[in-house]
Amino acid sequence: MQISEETKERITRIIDISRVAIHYGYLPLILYIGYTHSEPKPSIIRYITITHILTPGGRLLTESPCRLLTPLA
Amino acid sequence: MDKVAEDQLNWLGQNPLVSLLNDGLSSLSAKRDALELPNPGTFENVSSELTKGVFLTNLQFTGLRADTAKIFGIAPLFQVSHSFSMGAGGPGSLPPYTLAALFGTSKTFLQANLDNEGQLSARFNYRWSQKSVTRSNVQVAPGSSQAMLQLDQDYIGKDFSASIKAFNPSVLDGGLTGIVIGQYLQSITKSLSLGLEAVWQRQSMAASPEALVSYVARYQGSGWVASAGLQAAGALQMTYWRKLAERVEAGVESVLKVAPVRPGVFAGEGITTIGAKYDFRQSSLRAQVDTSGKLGVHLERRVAPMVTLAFSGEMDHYKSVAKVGLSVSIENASEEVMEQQQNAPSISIPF
Repeated sequence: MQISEETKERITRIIDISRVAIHYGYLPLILYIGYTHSEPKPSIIRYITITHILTPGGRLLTESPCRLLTPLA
Repeated sequence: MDKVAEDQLNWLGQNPLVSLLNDGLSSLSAKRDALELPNPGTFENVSSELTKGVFLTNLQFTGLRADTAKIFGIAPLFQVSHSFSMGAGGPGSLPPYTLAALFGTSKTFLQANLDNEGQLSARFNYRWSQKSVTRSNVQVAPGSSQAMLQLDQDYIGKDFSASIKAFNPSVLDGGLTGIVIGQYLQSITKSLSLGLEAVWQRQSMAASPEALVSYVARYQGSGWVASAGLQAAGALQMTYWRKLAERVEAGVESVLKVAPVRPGVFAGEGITTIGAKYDFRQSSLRAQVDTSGKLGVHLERRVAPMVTLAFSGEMDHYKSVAKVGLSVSIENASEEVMEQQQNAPSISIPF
């Protein structure tokens, strides 16, 4: 089977482009599909309001809302 | 017009020869169904009870490791995880940081692993029907024009499993290059199954193609499995696995290799490995020892519902080398997802 030089070059270029596309696009694509299709829908940034904290000394503190990024929290 | 064409083509399906062939095939398949042979599992999993269930092959690690995974959904499955590793060193060790995302429904499975050096390992699996699954795996490293592509088509029949794999297939050099592997495993009786693997490879058009054939046999008793495999390179592998009690499994594997040193002169070497696995309520312990003087142990313990600690150790007495690994993995899910996990019907994701 013989492939002409032109076709070969074209296929090589397509492979190169798709390799770069997969390299930089696949993980963001999964994150996007996951965020849009998950049930319940995840929020990117979640606020957790901690209102009362009891210190070891027995004092009650009231904290301001603390912000957490969901992928880690 | 269609009617006329149909009439003209009728003789194709209705002549005596075709109907004889059809009858023969359908009676053959009816007889085959009447044997009620079970599916033998896949070719790779011929000895998986032992090599994947009891032995430490895939579990061993060195250095410190921490994994944190956040589960966002169960159906469809969506999970993002971060893995940190240090002190591993050496080839085949884990990169310091890996980000992984996976998404799975009952038809598709997508996974991507990206490490701190920019190396990506991507998977995409698709289930066409209950019996047929296509898997693909791409590995891309930054700055190099080399990528690894693996395509895999599995077919799970009633009493057989067949699969065909291709590694980096290409026709750009003026002919087919790459590695192609065909595997077939067939149940012969209810407990015995026989399999065949054929490997065809051609690195480049300048090199001549090579073909190798391996054979396996697997016998499944009640609570035990024995398997034997003859590899094309001249290795004979025998395994025996047994469930000793409800939570105790043990097995032995023996690999004998015969390799030609000079034409007509063969040198043989063999390694036998014995392993056992104990499952406790919150932990599992695996231990193995082999004739090359290696002693390995792996202990996994669930300290809290979402936190798992693992210890892995290996000692090579002949080379006096020791490896120790300690890992902690934390799973995290919101309350809604945990509720969903308990209530939702499980979906089978084509992993």
